[in-house]
Amino acid sequence: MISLFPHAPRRTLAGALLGAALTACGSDNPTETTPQPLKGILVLDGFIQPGFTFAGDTGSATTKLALAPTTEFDAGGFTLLRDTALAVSSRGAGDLLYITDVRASTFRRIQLPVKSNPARARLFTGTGGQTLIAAALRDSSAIALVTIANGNATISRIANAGTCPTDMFTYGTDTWIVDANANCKVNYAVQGDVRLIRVPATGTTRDTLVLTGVRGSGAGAIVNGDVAYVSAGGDASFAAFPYTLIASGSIAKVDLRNRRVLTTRTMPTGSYGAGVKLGLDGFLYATVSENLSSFTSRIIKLRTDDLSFFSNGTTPWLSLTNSAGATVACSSGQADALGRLHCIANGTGSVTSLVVFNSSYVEARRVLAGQGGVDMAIR
Amino acid sequence: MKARLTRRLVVVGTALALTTLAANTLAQSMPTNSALAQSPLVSSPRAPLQLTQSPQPQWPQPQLPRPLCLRDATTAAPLPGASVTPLDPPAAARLVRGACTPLDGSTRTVRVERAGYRAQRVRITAAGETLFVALVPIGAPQRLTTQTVTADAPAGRTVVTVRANGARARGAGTMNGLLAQLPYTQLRSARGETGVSLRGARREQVVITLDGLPLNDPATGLADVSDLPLASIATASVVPGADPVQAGSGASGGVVALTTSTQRLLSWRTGAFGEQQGEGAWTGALGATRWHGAASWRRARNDFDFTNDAGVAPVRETRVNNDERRAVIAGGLIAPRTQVSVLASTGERGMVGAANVRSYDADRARTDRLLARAQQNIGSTVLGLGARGFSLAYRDPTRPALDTRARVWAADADWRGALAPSRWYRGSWRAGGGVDGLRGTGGVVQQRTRGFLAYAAQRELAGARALVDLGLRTDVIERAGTQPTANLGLTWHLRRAAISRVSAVARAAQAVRVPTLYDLYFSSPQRLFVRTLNPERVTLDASAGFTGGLTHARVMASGEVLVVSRNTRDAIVWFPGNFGWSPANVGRETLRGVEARAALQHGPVSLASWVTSYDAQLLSNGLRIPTPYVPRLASGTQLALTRGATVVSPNVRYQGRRPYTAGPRNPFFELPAVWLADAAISHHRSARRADVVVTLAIDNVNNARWQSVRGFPMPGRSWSLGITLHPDAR
Repeated sequence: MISLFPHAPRRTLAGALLGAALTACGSDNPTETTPQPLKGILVLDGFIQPGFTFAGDTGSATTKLALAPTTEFDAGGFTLLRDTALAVSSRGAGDLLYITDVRASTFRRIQLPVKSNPARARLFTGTGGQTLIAAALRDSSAIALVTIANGNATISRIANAGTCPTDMFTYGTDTWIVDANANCKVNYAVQGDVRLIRVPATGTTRDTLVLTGVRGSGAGAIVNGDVAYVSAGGDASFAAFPYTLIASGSIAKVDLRNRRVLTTRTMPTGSYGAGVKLGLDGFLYATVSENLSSFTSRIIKLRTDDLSFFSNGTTPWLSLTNSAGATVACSSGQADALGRLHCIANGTGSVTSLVVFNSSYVEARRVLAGQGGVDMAIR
Repeated sequence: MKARLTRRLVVVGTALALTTLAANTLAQSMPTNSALAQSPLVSSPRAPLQLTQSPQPQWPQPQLPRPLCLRDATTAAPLPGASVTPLDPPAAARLVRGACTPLDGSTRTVRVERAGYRAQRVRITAAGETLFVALVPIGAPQRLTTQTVTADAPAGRTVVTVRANGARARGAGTMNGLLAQLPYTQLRSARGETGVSLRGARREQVVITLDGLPLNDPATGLADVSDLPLASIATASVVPGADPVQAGSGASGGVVALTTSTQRLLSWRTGAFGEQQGEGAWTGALGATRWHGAASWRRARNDFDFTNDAGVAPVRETRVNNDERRAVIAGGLIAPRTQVSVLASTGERGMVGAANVRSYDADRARTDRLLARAQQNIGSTVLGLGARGFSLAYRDPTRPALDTRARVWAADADWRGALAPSRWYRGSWRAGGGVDGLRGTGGVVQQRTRGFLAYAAQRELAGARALVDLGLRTDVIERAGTQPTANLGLTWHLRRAAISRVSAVARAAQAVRVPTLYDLYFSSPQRLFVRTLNPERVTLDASAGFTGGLTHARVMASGEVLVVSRNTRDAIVWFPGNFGWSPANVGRETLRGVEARAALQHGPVSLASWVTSYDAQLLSNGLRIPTPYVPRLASGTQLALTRGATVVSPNVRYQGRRPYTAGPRNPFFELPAVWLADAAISHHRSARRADVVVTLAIDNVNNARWQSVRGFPMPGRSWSLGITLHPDAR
């Protein structure tokens, strides 16, 4: 049976939730980084045959780790830290947590609370130094903390985590929760500006920081030192035709130490979405849809200091071309330390290619990477 | 003239006309104490069907002298509702309730009329038992010989027919059960709806018709017939392979043709998982018009146990929100020159989620449907008018903002007739048109007009040892342009002896399937303007092989083996995407395979078996993708053992491993092979005023854990008990 909008809210959210994983890499200033050799590239195939495609840094060979059928896996993104990749399935695919050991190419899955509608998972460090996995439970207004001991998973919760928690991170001893402030239980309608909620290690108090002008049911954060970059994809009405754009996506730079917003940048007029990654070259890379008609994917490069756009052409987004000069549409982009942009493109039959551009943004290499690619990360 | 009519009579004492179809045909109106009545399958690939006088030894003799039975000459389906007028000696016309009527022993000539068919004058030349008359549809090609008037199924085609009442006696209590007894078919079901796949085709590539009216929803291309009352169905015929000329757009994989019954029947069925079902059918005469009506009511909880292995560890669970409630009424009028059919249905069911997904526990779907068709003989032509309306609504009390509704409608008109036979060929023509429309939540409005012109010709060669069929058709469809198609078939009779026949058959056909309204809608990212999506074109659907039959006093057999090949360009395949599912034209799709079937009947034993082996692949962007849900190997076997008034019917089906994603072959993404065994026992008892058939069936006897569609478990072992009354059967 076909619904008129079978996956629209979830996929929209998931697409906007292409979170940044490499919180430990790079810095705010690109001149301070030292290029490191790549350990490879991960591409997440989110549909058709969900799983990870592992590409070597030369891109010449790939291997595949199948995760689950689409009825059990619908993640639109993943996080990667210390060779552990985390992804979650929403309420439409069983509320499952997938933990992948990238080096061993193995995975296990854990049942999160039923109907909790998880959005994203990240590695956390517990108060005792133990490794935890945190998962944002959108429909439960909670953060699940998963502890694995002797192969058994134990789940505890941080309650009162906002209207629709979609991401979380730690800063100092506090847990910070990204609240998309949307009606995720029903239709993901935006209720207001995205909020950051601080949960101290002890006590039940909550500090809330409203990110004025940042709106979207898919909100995520990247933490780099004392700064968090919180992005949300914007607000649009998909209830009638033509689709109506209410607000474009935006990124806020937040000073975590002083708990204040430093600056906010709105994505180009008419665009929708803002999935942000931190490149190994120190720039932010945001993936947006150019408009709500063609949904052509574009990649915007931003400077981290003032969130200004870096452009190589006449458009606010990067002009990506192949060797013949034709425009290449790409998504989920991230640059390596040498500034070479890596991204994924889905063609007919959702056949996915990992595309690598040289520093002049001309296509240098293209490698098949499964089908249904939704996210990638450079190790 | 009289002599000519006389020559048109065929008195064939043997041949396939004595197949179980004949026996089952009579079973509608006569006691069924013959083993023949329980034969699983009936084939009519090339049978001389016109008029057969049967020397059938086991047939009940006497109290019903000289029954006359009518059938469609192209499908061999029983033809109810005809008007029979004795001419010599003259007597009043009578309407035939079912497909058979007893003739007075003194009758020498009758005239047979029925809407949509050529009227025939039949001379009764020999004393004996059953007379079988095949009526030729107006517009269908016919073959003229000195002794025979036979309209064959198109040359090179296989048509296999299952009778509903026979299937009921073998345990089928629903349309799904009937379809499962058709050879070459694969049923796919996830949430109660049923789609049929033929020759490795997707469900929307199979056209299902009821008395010629397509039941496919123009929005989705699917025809869900699971709610049709079995009581209203006389036969189901399966015709594998592209059928461009007769069925038009969408029949890439084949056609399943259903015919309406006119019978009196009451049936009650109860079974596992809360199944309750009542059906009734009645018929009568209004002057020169026969009316018939049927109604069905069904409900089931479908709360079966299953092992959920989709989560972290296998868990034993019970299916929830899987219930269904359905009601259907159908009826019609059949006059000598006019026929009208109406069907209305409503159904609600829980939209159970995939195995591990409880998020859909409150989702409901309601489907309403209204179908009507009328046809009128105009001179030597037939004008048909049809209308279809569908309403589909999804409702989720917990998330009403996501509720959706779609209303779809279609109107069709077609006109057909035959050209005057020439020395070289016999031709027929057909022309028609229609319009489809959709209105859905969110201001979705679509409409499309279409028209077609078709021509078919048939010619005998080599002294009637060979028969050649040629068909040409051009469809003109709004936004899809002009779509020409053609087919060419050949049957070469290698042996046509009294007791055996062998024919070589070959067929090549093209087909086209224009995008459905949903295809167009979802192919456009903004969902507002339809985006270019090319029609799917079968450039060549070829088959070649042999058919044969054997008829002996105690043994009858038939079968065929075919090598098949299909190439499709721009196949329309739905792929999931970042934003939602959407259809796309993939580069090329190929299918290579073998189809084989055999049926044997010997005394009280009837055995039918079929097997298909397909290699179907999509070729897109350098990837070789096995077509989802097409098993490399599939088969079915039905056995019917009759002793007295009791029939025991085991039924075994096999589906090999089949991929469930549109990705490269990967065992991780394949459903495992499965064997399914069903068994039924039925007992027939004749009373003074009614015949009673009691059937006990056990499905999935081996309690196999399996899925038709990935994530949607099917029931394990289940039972049902049915009681069927045929009032006034005598």
